[in-house]
Amino acid sequence: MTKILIIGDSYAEYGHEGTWPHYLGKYADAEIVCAGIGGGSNYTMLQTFKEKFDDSFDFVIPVLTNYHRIPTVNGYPFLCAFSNLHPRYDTAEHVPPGFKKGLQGYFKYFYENDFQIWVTLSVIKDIMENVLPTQKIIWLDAILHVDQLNFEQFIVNGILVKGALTNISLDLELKEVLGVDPLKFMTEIDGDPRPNHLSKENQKILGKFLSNIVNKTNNNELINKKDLNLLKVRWNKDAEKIYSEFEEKIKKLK
Amino acid sequence: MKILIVGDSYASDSSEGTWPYYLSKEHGYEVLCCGIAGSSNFTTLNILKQTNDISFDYIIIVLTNYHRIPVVQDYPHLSAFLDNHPRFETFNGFPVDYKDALSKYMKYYYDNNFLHWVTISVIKDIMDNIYPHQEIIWIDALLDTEVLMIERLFKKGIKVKGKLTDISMEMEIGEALGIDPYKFIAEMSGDPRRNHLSSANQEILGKFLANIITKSKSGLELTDNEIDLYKVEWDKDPTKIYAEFKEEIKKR
Repeated sequence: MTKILIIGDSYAEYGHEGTWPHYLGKYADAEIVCAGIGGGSNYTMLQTFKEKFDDSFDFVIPVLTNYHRIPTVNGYPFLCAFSNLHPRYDTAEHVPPGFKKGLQGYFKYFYENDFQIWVTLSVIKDIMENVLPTQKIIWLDAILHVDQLNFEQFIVNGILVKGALTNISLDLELKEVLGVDPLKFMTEIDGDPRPNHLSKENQKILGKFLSNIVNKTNNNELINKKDLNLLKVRWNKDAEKIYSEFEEKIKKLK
Repeated sequence: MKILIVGDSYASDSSEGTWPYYLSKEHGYEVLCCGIAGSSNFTTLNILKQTNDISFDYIIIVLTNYHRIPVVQDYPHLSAFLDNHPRFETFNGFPVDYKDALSKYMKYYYDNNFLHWVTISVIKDIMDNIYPHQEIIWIDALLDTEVLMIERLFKKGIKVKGKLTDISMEMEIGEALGIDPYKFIAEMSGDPRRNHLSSANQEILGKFLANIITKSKSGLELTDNEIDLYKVEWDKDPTKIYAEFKEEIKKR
């Protein structure tokens, strides 16, 4: 049986029934270990990789997150995401006292864009170096936007999926289908109720999409460009279904 | 023969009388010294990427503390100033809110494992980014690669054994002058010694490195003693070493 490790940020956090890792396991007949950490940085992902990955796995799926996430939040991994670029930076209430002031100081004295980019590239290299020739990597882009950063040239080991998951969860599901400003909407509802930030139907579609890559790889079949492009997938665009995922949360807040 | 030197304050001065000067003088080598005082290993990597070209034959990498904060935008000299820096309490050149930001940084963001991994990745990146004909000489200034057990990382180049702080602080100040080196440096407004070494030992270090380069260039095997800072006959004359600090002490 194929064994797959999934690591990354909140887009890879849940593997229970109805999530994309669950469907991937189902359609690829694979055992899934889902170890994403909500709010984690790419360095956090590397730590998980080193902790969990071993010779028994056939695939690893690293789900790459924003490069500007602060990689070192000692004891506060969920806060990695809370830079002032985070949609809920101003509204989140569960941050420790003094954290926001510290964050301002961090950005004033310690944050360096080039360093953050280099860290992410070094994480990618480190993962590539630590995979056996018989093991496969499927790189999935959550929020990193590999295309825009011109990162493709560095990903020389493994299969790179084109397009970012935010293009689906935020741009397509919320902006295009529901017609709302995704970041404002997220702030107003105080967090995304969708596991892995995707609606039910699209979890299934993503699981199937990835299982096709896994199955073709296992069968030594040719994988064409379309098989690897999130932007060419026929995603579910049913507004009613997508809205229903948020309904409970909105009711509660009202 | 062209030599590029990068690193922290131990590699920041190549004026007459410094170890890069003697390295150059010994055999007429052309030396470009680009070390930056207070910098992190990540800064060293960046400087190397900016300055290295095919014309260099040898690159001397002077490695610093791994815990140095690698990114201090617009404040490069502050990289070294974590609260364990000897002059952290006495230095008065910090921006007004820096210490507060640093304490929050240490509470929420400082991760020893991360900074350790950054240094390992820097070392790997340096090895990946040199030209095939170039030889690296690795020297520990403040990075204790033996204690950290990362010697196996140095797959390319010549790794010098020992640490320059053991010479400049432990031997010159602690052993020869018989005082607590960190307290002594903290009491001054800075180390008056260029590259943190006394004049006589600058010459000794320059010659030590020139020997490594000359022998390796000729394809001759280097003995363990020739790449070991602890086997060098350093100058331990307290009068001479003390003279380096005299002006600074008088000023205060």
